[in-house]
Amino acid sequence: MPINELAEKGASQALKAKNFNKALDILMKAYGSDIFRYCFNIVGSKEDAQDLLQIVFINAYRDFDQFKGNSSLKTWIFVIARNRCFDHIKQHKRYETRITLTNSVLDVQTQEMDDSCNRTGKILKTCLDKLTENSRNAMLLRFNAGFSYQELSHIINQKPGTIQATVVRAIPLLRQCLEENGVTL
Amino acid sequence: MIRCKRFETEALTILEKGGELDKHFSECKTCIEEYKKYLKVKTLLVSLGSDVAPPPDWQAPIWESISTSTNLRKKTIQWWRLSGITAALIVIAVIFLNLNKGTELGTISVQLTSSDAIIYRGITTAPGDKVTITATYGEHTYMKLYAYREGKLMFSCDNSPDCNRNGNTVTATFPLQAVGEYHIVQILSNQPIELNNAQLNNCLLNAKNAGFVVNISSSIKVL
Repeated sequence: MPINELAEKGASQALKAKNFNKALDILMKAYGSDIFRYCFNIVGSKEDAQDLLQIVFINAYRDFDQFKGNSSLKTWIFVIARNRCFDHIKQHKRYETRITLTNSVLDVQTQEMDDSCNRTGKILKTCLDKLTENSRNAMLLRFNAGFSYQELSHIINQKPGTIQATVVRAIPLLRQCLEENGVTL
Repeated sequence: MIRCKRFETEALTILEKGGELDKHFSECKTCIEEYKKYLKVKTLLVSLGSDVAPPPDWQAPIWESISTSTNLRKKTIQWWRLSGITAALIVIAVIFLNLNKGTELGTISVQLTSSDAIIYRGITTAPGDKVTITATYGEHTYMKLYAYREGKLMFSCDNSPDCNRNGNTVTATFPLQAVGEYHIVQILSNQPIELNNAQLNNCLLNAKNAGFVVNISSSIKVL
């Protein structure tokens, strides 16, 4: 049985038995890295992603009673992650330094970028930031986190077809931005 | 030469629906090229952030928060859903370290605000809630206001546009964005205040040694 299925089964059983600590432990081990990566890709800072990671799982623990089983626990936790990440972005918006593209040269002004990211990764992230918030989120959840459109509809609260259309429109824009900034595809 | 647009207008939708492409897309050079680029973009997206991971001990603060707030879930259920009031304030008790209380010596009060609900959790609050500090100079000439998270400076009126002085009173509002324990510190003096303020403990120690008046709020726990 795949790890995710094992985690889903184990955590669901723990929740039914009201063993919330065990459920949390299973979910943190199974999805902690995925949530961290998602938050990092959204907010662009390891420190903030780590804070958000903690908030997400504390919120999940607090709200376990509200999980109705309409989706997988992974999807449910990503809903929390998405909401917390967007809250974070809203709170930081006035301090945010916009990323500008000048003469096709990427000029990332003060947005924190980890040194370990390679150049293509930085350009990809900057090109993603050029998309609308909705498109960027859909692209990350679809391709980076690997959700199906059905699962995405639970997270984004839109119809699967709408999200699919968003992704289909965003792919050429992303490809064009990458090529304009010297990424060979 | 007109460049074929069918990949962008048709194939992307078919592929994202999980369907199969027709013969054209295996023969049209432009579409084959576009398909390869599509796969490359997908690969780049899949690998984005693959070199980052949370620190090995990232779960420890979560367990700590849960263990130190055993009623976290019950309290939240009890109060979390209260709605209809746009703002609610909780005045947190202020502990004065100096024994000589009184407005002439300057005061500090701390309020927590939630945007859409009453959230009464004593001195426990949630990420996103805002803290408003109201501080008075009393008879002092100089004042510093600092906020610390987990003992480290996270907010200072020295360099924040969010601090406003109106006569003898300074107000400052900022969000509590991260989980952790916060303290608000007010330092007063009739001499210019120069302190190493990066760490809460050092700040308090240096301020006391320098003879400054120090007021510190009770801790605010963000869970």
